[in-house]
Amino acid sequence: MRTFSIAILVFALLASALPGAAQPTPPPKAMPYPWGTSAPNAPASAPVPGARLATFTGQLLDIINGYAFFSTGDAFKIMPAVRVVDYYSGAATTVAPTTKTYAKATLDEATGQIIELAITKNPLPTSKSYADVKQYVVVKSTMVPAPEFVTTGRAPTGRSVAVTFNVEVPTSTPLTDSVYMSTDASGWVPNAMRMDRIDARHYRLTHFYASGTKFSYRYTRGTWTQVERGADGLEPAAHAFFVPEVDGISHADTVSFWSDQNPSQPQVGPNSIPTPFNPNPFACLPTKANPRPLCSSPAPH
Amino acid sequence: MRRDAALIIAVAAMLALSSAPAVAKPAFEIRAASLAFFANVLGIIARTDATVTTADGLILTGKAAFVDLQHNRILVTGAAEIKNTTRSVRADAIAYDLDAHTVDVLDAAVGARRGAANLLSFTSAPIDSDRFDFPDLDDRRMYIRSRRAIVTPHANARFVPAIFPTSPGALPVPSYMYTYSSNAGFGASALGGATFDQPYGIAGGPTSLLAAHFRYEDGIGPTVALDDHLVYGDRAYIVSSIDSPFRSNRAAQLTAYQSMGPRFSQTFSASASDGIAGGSYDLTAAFGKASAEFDFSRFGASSTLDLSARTPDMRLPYGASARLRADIGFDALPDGVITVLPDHNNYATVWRHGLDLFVSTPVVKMPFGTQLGVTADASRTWYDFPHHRDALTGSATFSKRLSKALTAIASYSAAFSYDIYPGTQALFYPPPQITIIAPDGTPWPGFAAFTGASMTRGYTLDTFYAPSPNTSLRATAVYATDFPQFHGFGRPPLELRLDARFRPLPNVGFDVGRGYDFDWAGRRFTQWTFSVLP
Repeated sequence: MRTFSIAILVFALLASALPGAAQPTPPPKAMPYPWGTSAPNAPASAPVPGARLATFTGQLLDIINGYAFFSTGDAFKIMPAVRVVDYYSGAATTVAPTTKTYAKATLDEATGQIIELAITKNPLPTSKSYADVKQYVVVKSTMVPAPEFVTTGRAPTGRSVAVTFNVEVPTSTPLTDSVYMSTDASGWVPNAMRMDRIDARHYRLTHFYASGTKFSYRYTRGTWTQVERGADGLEPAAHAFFVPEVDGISHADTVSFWSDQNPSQPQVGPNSIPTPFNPNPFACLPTKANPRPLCSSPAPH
Repeated sequence: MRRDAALIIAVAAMLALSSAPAVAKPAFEIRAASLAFFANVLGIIARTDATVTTADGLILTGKAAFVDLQHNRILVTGAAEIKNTTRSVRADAIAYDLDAHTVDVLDAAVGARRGAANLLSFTSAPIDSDRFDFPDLDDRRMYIRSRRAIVTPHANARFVPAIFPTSPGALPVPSYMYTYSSNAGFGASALGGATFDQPYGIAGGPTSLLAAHFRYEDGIGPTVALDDHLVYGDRAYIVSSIDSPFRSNRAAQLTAYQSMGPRFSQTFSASASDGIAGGSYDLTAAFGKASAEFDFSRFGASSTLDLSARTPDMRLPYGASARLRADIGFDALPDGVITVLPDHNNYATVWRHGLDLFVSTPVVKMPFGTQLGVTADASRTWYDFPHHRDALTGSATFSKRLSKALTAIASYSAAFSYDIYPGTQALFYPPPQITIIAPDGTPWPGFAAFTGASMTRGYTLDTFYAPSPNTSLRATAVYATDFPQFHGFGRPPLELRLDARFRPLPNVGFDVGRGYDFDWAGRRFTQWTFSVLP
């Protein structure tokens, strides 16, 4: 639920930041809340005598653009001249209704807006009258999500998107080796796209893709015997990437091990010393001249 | 030799067997005066009288068509018609979802309707813009031009013929199969490394691919290879291959891999070349971020077993990390592993155990905008014969970003190893009876100083210049001072290498490189490396 609430908040922030994005109509002028830049305890409106009221209690996420967001994911519109009072005394308070404070919101059923916020720093019991206020919860948002959030549900335009892949390689990566990306779009050729080294442990590659492109990829050192392994030493699933409708995007991955750096694989040792008696020390393959190489053991014994 | 032949026959049988699913019934075929395939969005646009025939008996026609291979849907527009053996529906645009078997019809007079693939009844439906989306793709990004395409959904598309308009080096071919399956099992290969490797799909199905590889291999030259993939979901695959089948030094390989849940995987591989056949079995088990491995291999008469375990990376102060590895195993040979000894028959199996400690620092910021990363590795292996082997390696890498496009990386690495036979060192590392002669005729008396201890030191300067995402230059200089190292034995003391990556057209790029060895044993330039980028 908290994630949902935060998502609502993020969307609200994005919507407020997006030029031209449809959003709830902001108040006509600066809100005379008793906090912020307005004078403390500026004139506030008291509940109209005889008005039908409903209440809702909860923890505040934020108050922004004339709406109060609670951690339950519910949001209510706030009357411009809302009263902010201390929860216990009912008197005016200097405690600002900010994130993590608790509040009892009193709503005017005629307008569905909050006319009073009773604030406290102490937890309040969950409102038992949610059914009474449910109808006033802001649900019919006409906000347009930011394009960065649109990954499905809308046909991509196929625009050219610069996608930058950054990969952190294991410290045991040989210093002079190259790192490549192999993708299903390139027929899984292991040395399809060479990456540029940017420091001791990081490689980078920028490639242009059409938005909407979906592909899988793996990191290699040029062959399929030198392919990435997970932190547990097992072969991980291929990475998947979807190119969203943006100008450019950066993506980071980590390679924990390389498959050829297996403890049971031949290690660099005396057998690999280039000597006249061992002119092909690194091949370690059976040949007619040496049909019985012992890759994992020292030679000569 | 019989084993060699047997394995080659087995691999050939595997290749033949996999052809069966390779000719599996395709789901649909597209014909038009002009087909354009866009690999970057996995879409085919058909212009001028497009006809799509599906395996379930539907025929869609229209002035133009778009096939979305990623989502397995077909859209025909302009005097569009869909029909089966008994019914026919005409509209301005018709969309067919091959996975859902639904037909969406859009007509200016009637509106949008939706029905099933049997075309029996249609009901009004809101316009689903995604289904009727006909993307305006840029022709510059076209990968293949053709007139006919046969598609196996979620697997591959065969184009007949295939013209590669944006690839200057690519000749038109009568048929070309493009595999777009996201199953990484298609990416595994049993083939060895090659300077150049260009695969060419011959046949394929949803779970199989038979491909020819046009290769250039060091020491062999231009050659061809065949490899075949059989994939079983994301959990298993079998890859078999024959390299250089028309040469005397042909080689056959087979690799089978299976993931057995989140903790275990097993791999079996076999190979045969030059009259030697063998195989290995590997079982890997993961315990959190630690792992253990069992490996047994047998080539010819020799066999090796290893059982190893590795700790996860352990955090050390200042962000450094370390991991420890232990292994136990044996080497075996019927005539004896330690052939130097007169009673070598008594040493048919030699057990060993070892420990390896690897430590690394994080990449830390240093003065003048540089960054530094350091690694160190120490290992010792004990044998049940009086013998142990020590190895110490270390590396330090400095990097500095000189500008937005230019990065310089300087590194130093050193490796020391010592093969120690207490009391019998001279028996295993005897002084040479003759003076070693280098390939250029230079005598090398200094080799007599080698008695089992070796040292390698390498100084590397790497510069990367990437002025744009499509252009990259890499220049590498390596200075190596090793022991033993002399006139063609060991690494060249100085080596320069230049690699360039460039993309003359949006859809195709090239990566070429070559090194220079400064007359090391008469060698100046190394062989070119070349690859075509998607």
